[in-house]
Amino acid sequence: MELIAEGKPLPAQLGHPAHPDFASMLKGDIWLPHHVPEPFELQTGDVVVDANGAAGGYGDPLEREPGRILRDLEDGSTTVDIAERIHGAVCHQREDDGCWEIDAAATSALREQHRKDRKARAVPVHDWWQGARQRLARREFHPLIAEMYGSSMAMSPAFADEFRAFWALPATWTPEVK
Amino acid sequence: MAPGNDDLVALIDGRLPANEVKDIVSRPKEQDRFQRVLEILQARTGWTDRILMPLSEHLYIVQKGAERIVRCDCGHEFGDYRCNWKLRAHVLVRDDLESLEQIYPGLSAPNPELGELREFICPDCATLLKVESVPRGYPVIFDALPDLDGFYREWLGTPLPDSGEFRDLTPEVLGDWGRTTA
Repeated sequence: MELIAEGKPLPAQLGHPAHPDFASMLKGDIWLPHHVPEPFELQTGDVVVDANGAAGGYGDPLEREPGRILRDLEDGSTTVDIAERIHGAVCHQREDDGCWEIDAAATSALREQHRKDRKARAVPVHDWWQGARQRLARREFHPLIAEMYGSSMAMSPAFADEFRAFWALPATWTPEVK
Repeated sequence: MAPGNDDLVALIDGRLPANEVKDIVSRPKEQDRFQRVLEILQARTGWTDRILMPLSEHLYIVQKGAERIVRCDCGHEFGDYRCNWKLRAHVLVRDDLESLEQIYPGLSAPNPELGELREFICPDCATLLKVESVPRGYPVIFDALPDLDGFYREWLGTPLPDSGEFRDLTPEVLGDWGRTTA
């Protein structure tokens, strides 16, 4: 209310996701949960600030056109380190006018390197499936996940069959220990 | 007016301005549009096997001899199109904070105990073909199993010469995996 009365900026945006600055606009005890928290109680006068990422992208980020990455940098919807890590785009901001530029040769070399890294780190789906299956068979998951699958499987025998068939689990397997 | 070939190429590549895309979308589709798009895509590949249907940016269902297979534009083959091609891909899974924070730094990272990102890549060219964002433990999603024969017969009016049995083969592959694992 004080911020509104004084016409000051409101904490409506996260700012840089790794260094959020909205907290500095507010007085009082500030709690920054790392993820969407489980239910918690609010008191009169508490302010809730919710900043969520938007929808996912489309296609391979290493194929994003340089012009679009520059536009993302200009309007602040990505950061220079994300551009490098995710899009393999080597960009820098000019000192004189603050415009962004992309280094085409360095970008194509970095993208090639990212593809090599992917190839080296990725595993056949079958190998991943075996490990993931073991963890499921041992019920190594968060209680909320167990609750979700438990209720879905109880509501839909078809989903229960599909789920067990996908992971080759016995017909008696349930996510919650009975 | 029907879109020219240059328009279709720009449409496929995402270079057509939004108002021109809108014009194309709002008009009835010419009977040969699908065939024209296929010809553009076919000319871009280095192979002669006929594309029956594009599945995504880099994947196509292709007639290879008597088989209908999924193939990446680099040439890598994922087997019969009636089985989820993802089972034959390679995968990078982001299911811990460190790997998720590569994409979503700091407060923007989701809780890795609840969800995971699966990045399916081509084993040959390492192109990212598809990403799944799902709860932990969710079965791999079969995005689409098109009824090719029905589509060619009823929609294009040019039935394919040999019709295959139309059913999902994914459970059989998973059954094999289960037998060799248990």
